[in-house]
Amino acid sequence: MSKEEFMKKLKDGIKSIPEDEKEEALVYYEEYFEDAEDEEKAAEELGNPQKIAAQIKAEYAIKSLENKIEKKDGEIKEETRKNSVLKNIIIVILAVLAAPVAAPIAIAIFALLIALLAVVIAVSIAVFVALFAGVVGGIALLIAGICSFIVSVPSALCLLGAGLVFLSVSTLICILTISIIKIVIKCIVKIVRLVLKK
Amino acid sequence: MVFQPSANLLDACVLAVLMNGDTYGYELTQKVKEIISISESTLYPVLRRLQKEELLETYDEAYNGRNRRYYKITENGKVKCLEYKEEWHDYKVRLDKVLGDVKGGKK
Repeated sequence: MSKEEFMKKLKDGIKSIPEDEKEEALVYYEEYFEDAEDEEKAAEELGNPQKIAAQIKAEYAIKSLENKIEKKDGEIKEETRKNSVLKNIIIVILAVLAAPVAAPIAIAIFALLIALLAVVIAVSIAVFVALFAGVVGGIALLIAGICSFIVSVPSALCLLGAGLVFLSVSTLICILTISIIKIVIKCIVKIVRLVLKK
Repeated sequence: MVFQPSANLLDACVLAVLMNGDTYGYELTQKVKEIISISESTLYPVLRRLQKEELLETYDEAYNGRNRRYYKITENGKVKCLEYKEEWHDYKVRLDKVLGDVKGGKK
């Protein structure tokens, strides 16, 4: 069989596959003949061109079938991705359903914190009012003491001393209270942060 | 040769030959033929498939006033070839184990 005859039969045999595939095969065999020393012998060795054409077609068919299967695999993966989206939605729904249980607990904790804050504020106001009373009382005692000098010196000194004690004790308690309030507020802030993190 | 080469073995052979350098269709056919008995027409579909799997690539070069298509192994192809090498080694060891135990013969 001559090279021309071989190529013609091959071309006829692979008519049904796409143009680029056909071109690729024809170029390959064209070059094969040109590289072979003896075209006649090469054609003989290659064998039946119709059989070769069938081989090429079969290989092409398998390849495109595999591609189709791979595409299907891709679609399946897409579906599983959708499934995971669905899962997330279900989780959100469950969370909403669980809210009637979770919400009262959150509200309780919140209420507790507000109560704590109110207690701190109330106590500190009370303490400051008491301190204010102490300071006012102290000043009143001092004034009373100064006025009493005319009547009796010992009672005036006594009143002055009492006034000074009132003032100093009030000041001491004031300093103590401020530092206690600071500590309590820091503790509350820490608790709030802990709750919010959870 | 009495053992029929499988498609994978043929792939391994082609890749191994290309590991030694780029070559063109006719020469590649001759080289593979020296290793395993295949018909001259077997290689084209194999090359086409390996090319589509990106294990090898082609480039054209002028030769004697005409075009010649060369085949070149890709990085993926090299990785695959090494995989085949390991697989082959395992296979060989297992076959040697059973065939080596057969008494008689040259050894």
